[in-house]
Amino acid sequence: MKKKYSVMAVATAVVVGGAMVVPIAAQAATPSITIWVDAPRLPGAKLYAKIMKGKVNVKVELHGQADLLAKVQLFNRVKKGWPDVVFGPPNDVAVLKNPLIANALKLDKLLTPAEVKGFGNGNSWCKSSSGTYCVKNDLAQTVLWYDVKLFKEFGYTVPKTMDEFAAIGEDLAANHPGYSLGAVGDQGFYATFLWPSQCPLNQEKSATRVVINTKSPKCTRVAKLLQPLVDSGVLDTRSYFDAGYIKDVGQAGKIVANIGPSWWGEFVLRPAGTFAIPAGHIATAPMPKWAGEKVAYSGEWGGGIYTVSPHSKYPRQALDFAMFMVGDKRNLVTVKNPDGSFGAPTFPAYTPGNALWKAKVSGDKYYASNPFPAMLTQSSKIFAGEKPVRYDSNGAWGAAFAPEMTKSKDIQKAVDAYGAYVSNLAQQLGYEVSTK
Amino acid sequence: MTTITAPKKKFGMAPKKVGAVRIQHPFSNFLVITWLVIFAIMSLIPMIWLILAPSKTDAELTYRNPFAFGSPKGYLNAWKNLQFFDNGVIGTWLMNSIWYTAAIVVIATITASLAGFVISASNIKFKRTFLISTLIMMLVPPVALVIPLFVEMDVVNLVDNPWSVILISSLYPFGAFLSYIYYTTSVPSELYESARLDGCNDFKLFTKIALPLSTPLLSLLAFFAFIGNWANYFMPYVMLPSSENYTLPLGLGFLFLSTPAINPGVGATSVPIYKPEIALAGALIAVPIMIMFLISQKRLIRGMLAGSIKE
Amino acid sequence: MAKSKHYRHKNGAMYLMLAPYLLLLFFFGILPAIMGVLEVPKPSMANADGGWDAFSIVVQDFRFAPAFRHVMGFMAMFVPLMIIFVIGMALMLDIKPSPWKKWLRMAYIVPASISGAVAVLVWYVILQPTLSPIKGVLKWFNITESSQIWQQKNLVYILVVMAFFAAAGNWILIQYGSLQSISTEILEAARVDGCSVFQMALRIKLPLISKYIIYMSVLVFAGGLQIFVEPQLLNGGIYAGIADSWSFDQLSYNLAFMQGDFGGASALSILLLIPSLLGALLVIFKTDMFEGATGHAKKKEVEIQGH
Repeated sequence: MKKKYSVMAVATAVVVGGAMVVPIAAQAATPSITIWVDAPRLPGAKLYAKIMKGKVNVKVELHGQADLLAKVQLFNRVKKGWPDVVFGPPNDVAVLKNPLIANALKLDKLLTPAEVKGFGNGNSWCKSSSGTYCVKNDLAQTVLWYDVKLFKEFGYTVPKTMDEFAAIGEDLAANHPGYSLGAVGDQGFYATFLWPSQCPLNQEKSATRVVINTKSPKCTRVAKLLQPLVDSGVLDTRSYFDAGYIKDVGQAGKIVANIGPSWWGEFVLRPAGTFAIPAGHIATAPMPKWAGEKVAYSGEWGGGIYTVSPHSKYPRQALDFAMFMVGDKRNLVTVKNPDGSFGAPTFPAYTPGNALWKAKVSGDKYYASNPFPAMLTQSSKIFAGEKPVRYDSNGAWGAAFAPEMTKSKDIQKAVDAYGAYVSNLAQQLGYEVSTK
Repeated sequence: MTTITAPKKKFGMAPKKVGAVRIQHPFSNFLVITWLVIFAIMSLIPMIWLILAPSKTDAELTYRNPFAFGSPKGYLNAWKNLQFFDNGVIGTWLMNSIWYTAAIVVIATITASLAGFVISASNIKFKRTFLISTLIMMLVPPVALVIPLFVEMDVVNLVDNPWSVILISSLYPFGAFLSYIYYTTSVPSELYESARLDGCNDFKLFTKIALPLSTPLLSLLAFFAFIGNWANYFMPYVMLPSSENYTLPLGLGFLFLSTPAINPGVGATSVPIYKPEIALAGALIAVPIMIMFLISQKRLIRGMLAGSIKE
Repeated sequence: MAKSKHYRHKNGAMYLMLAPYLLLLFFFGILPAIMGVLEVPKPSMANADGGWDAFSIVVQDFRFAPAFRHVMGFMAMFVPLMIIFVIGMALMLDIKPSPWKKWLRMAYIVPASISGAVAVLVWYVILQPTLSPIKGVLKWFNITESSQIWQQKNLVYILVVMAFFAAAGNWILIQYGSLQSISTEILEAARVDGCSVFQMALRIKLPLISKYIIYMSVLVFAGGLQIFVEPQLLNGGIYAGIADSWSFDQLSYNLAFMQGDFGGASALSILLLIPSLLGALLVIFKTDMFEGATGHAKKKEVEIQGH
């Protein structure tokens, strides 16, 4: 099954590549592409270069994630230097596809029907009304992470709704002071509460219109439900990564449950430098549902993308690299990382890819039960209303939301501060901001 | 010619001056020294933390005393983690840093000191225009120049070539102005006049009169050119897109920025770079700066001594 | 006639010695600066039709007014602190120069040697009450919780401290160096006249190094106005975004590199340059900064006339 898939990918690559590049004499020459990746993606990219030796000349460069955005203007000015394919943060696609920048190739015609099908909902972030402009590397869908031992000790059952989640918080405040349901002083609050609640914050409707409305009932219900938990300290107003929170709460074993992205267990709950929760404690559950909703949506915290340059002479070869990263066993499971681990660190966005990757976490004895099923369930339920936007919507959490949260400890006020800040940013970048 | 040797005499005079002060204000002298030492300790605290940090594990950094020592193994481990990244490409970055910086220091120091000398000692035209434009260059925010510089480098085909960074960074208006001030305050113009009457041409004026008096200036210029460029991030970042051309701060920057130690939003990583590794790299980057300081310091004093011995 | 030919010949050598710097100045300074000005009217996302109203667009940017307030507050503390402290330290070091004091001077430049991503980590650790090596100092200010630190109203104080430690050491070194250039005869004469240490510093040393002090003041002023590195470091820490577009230069950087608006970035840079430049020129022309330059020119005039 796995083998078959990669054979198919190569086959389609040949077909599409042949069809795309009109037969010129240069066709005989070996195609060459330049790849920009960040450090965690480097081993896979280097492996790809080795595999393709003789077929495609692959030049791999280490870059920071936000690099292309910073440099594309320079390349546009001198009309050369663009890398063929680039790994970057999720929001970049909105900037790159802007006609003033024009450095994201529309991939609709390049992606084979099999590939489109393989992504399922996994690539909806990259789709807009005008087409598909990127390929998602990994999904950072939120799930509920909880401590089975503490749940048993306190007699809790896994919350199915947000009301049940809040009820646990109230019980903790009353009967087990000091225990926590997480922190709300950073960007995580968006991914874990506001986005799953469908609060319209960065809902791009077209290239010129974005909906931002912090007074929508889908936003105010978040503040209403959670404010008491903030008041009682069950939800901490610091950041999850605040050294004080790590020491006083995380490492003290006081996190009973928290909503977090799919990479949370491996990179926050487990490492000795962060929460250092011992083996046998952690399990996942699907997202609790907001009252009155049919679907228990997830938000997303992270999840990188690949964009292909429209200036690339070999766009299909460039896309092949992205497909290798999200769909090939050699990158997802076997490649050796500098820290001694193997394979891709995070949940692949491509369905055949995450089927391969599954084994990496499913059999891990660290978890009290297999954490994969909940991740899989939520992977197709990321609420698609929130979209990539041209302004820095992530940075604005630190710039506007977190400082207000620290100061007033008032959720609605902090969300309003965010809304005001991004409305300004959006207008600055030529969006019309509306509330509906 | 007495004025030439005047600044050098100072060194020999110093003890006398000390005695005078001590007799006058023994207590306030003690206060002054205490304060100087306290400020030195305050300045050293971050570096002490950096040097001790790699001895501890990432977890120990959170719960142990900031000044506690972990174990020597910690350094080895952090060093290994830095080394094994991408087959030791860090060694290449280090070599790049060394030779780019060396080239910049040499070119910048020579051009700036010559410029300062010419402006102070000659009667060429447009001196004032020249000084003001040098001043403007010091005040222009670098962001404004990035696109034009990139376009220029593209025209001469130097993008992704180390010489782009070396040439751009060799423009040293700070140094040119500093040496202008130095020459106008430390070398009396009568000296040039009399040398001219003795038949010195302009080159000799520089090599025979100005240069022997310039040792403190040159070591100051070289030192500041060094620290300005050794840790420079921006120009290499803009001009050098290929990994094999990176400098140490640039390559490490890319590496560090994609780890949760600096940027927790990144979250997931398979690169073993945590606080101890970053601290070790930081301490290592700082070491050459300290060495450069000691070298230039020595030259400064040796220059003075040489003068007094000759006397 | 023969004399003036002689002069021209001499200046040829002078121009030759100046040429390398002049070339660098032209190609990597003046030319790109002019090109930067021409960058302003180019169209961008914020200035879709292009044109010189890029200036008014950037001033109306919602981040401009807060940046203005921040930077003014910062300058009010940073500039006087730097100038007084640095000169004070240099004078104190100069009271009794002895070889072991080079270790003090070296200690002062250590904070400047920590830069980039490493500095992000260091400053986060220092300001974090749980990790900080200066816990005691923080406690003395009654700070035990990170939430007391990471508030926007505190940023200006934190940044003054950061910028101060980053820059003070280098300037102490320069001003100490400038004090070494004072001739001993003058100091000796003053001492014979019965000058105390304070009188010597105020009446003799300071006037003699006034050019260096003016030079420093101009650069400290411009540096304060263009503060960038320190807020950018805080902004890159765990509380990412807290100092987003805090200063003018950060706004300019964000315009250029986050929004691809180089025109706006250039416009802002030009606006920033004006006060620095006016201040610099005013100070320089009001004082004898160009004394050396003009002095020679005058002498030449006299000579020629006399001929």
